[in-house]
Amino acid sequence: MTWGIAILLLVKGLAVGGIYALISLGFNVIQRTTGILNFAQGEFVMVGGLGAAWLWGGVGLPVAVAMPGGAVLAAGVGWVSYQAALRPAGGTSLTTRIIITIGLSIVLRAAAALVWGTDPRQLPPLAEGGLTLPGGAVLDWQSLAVLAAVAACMPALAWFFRCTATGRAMQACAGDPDAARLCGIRPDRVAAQAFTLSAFLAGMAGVLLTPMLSMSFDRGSMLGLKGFAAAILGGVGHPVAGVVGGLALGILEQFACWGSSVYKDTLALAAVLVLLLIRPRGLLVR
Amino acid sequence: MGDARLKVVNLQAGYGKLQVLKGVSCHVGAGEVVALLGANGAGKSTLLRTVAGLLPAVGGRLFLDGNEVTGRPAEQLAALGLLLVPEGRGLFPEMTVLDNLRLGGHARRLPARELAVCVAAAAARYPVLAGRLTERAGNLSGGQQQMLALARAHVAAPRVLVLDEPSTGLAPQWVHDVFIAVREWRERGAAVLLAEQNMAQALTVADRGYVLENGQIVLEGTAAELLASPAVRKAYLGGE
Repeated sequence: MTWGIAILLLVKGLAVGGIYALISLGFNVIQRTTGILNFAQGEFVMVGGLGAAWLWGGVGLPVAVAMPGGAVLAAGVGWVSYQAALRPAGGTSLTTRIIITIGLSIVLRAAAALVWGTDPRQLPPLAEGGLTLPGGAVLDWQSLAVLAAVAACMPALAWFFRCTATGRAMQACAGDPDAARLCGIRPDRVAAQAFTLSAFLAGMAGVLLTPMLSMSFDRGSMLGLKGFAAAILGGVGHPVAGVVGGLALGILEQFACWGSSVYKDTLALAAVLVLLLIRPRGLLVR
Repeated sequence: MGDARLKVVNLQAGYGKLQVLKGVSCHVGAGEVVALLGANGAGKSTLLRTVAGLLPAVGGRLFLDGNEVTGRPAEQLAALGLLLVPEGRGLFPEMTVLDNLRLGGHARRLPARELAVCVAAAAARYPVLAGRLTERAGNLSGGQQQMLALARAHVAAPRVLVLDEPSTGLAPQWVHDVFIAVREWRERGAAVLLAEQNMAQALTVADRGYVLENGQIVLEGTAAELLASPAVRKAYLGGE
């Protein structure tokens, strides 16, 4: 392996890992504010990617509109999912609500197949061409663009949590739900906002992933699993740790692909298993 | 009594099958400080948590400004101007002092500019916080945290302020500050319900008081009457 290829794999790994990080951030937003582990997270990713591909290829919108459109569509699906499936179950146990999200993932997958068909859909690349690295490897602009988009999301998210009333309310709910209610914060409203924001982040991930790998209705669960693996790798409940976990997972996968791409997914799951055995709290937590 | 700002009628509540409150009635008027006294486990916190809407009432009724609010959840009561500072203060230790103060204005739905003005006023009133606005609330000492809880109440500007053991575990100079703040709230016309184990201290600031025992009010009266009552002196003040 030359230095050029190592750099290539590293950057590609960071790009894919950044996408996993977005999914894991989405997991975190819902888990911290509502306690729910959302098994439909991957479906939000799928809706974002397929939605954007449909807006571009089906509706005929320009890419620059279709891509944010896909993320907004996913956010809308997240909001409707909460209102239709989880809010009516507000008084039930946490386990019940977690199982509801499994049902939700099945419904969303089937709905996507009905609406958008079962064929994979494509989005044009974010940028053509690439940068020739020493040793002859070509680093595509696409990966760098994804990396830049992910890098822009993180400070935007930090700003949202720190500087908006909605962000503060979500933080408060995550810290101490009862104390938040005493401040006049409505838990059902915050939960709806959490689902919307989380689905928006997942949708972004789907939109960024589709030009690289295409998207189909049944890819959600594996992507959700990757985001979940990223969250576990870093440490559940800690957003920054989830980002680090995502990046680590992406890099790990890319270097594993260099050996044999057959083991890419296996490796991600094996890493989680091993980590759960030796460091159940995650890499970064205590 | 008809114009009591907070009125509790025959309130019953508890945890699961365990009934803690067995029909409690009390009231607090505007500009009045009412002490809720009683030993540990008498039901003080349960009463306050039920009044604030964190615990559902099994029976009885609750009125704010004469309007029935029985069964309303905590977040709605907060929006109506009832603020509980719970045991443990209800701060958000992972968030900054400034963000904790800002959350005090959440129930009032203040526009950003007005919120900033209220937060600045609260920081000026509690100068111990002024230099620590960007610190995590969890890094403050116990006394400073209690000041933060009071400063947050300052931002919230409630019509009914309910304090659950605000002086517990504090050094004397902080206890003094807590009771100064309570007097300020009375002057501003709020209705203050103050639960305290420290009876002597509470009765120096309160206008009236109720003594809670086993989930029932066993005694009520003005602060002077309670201080003079032989039963109170014997049970709580260590007098003969």
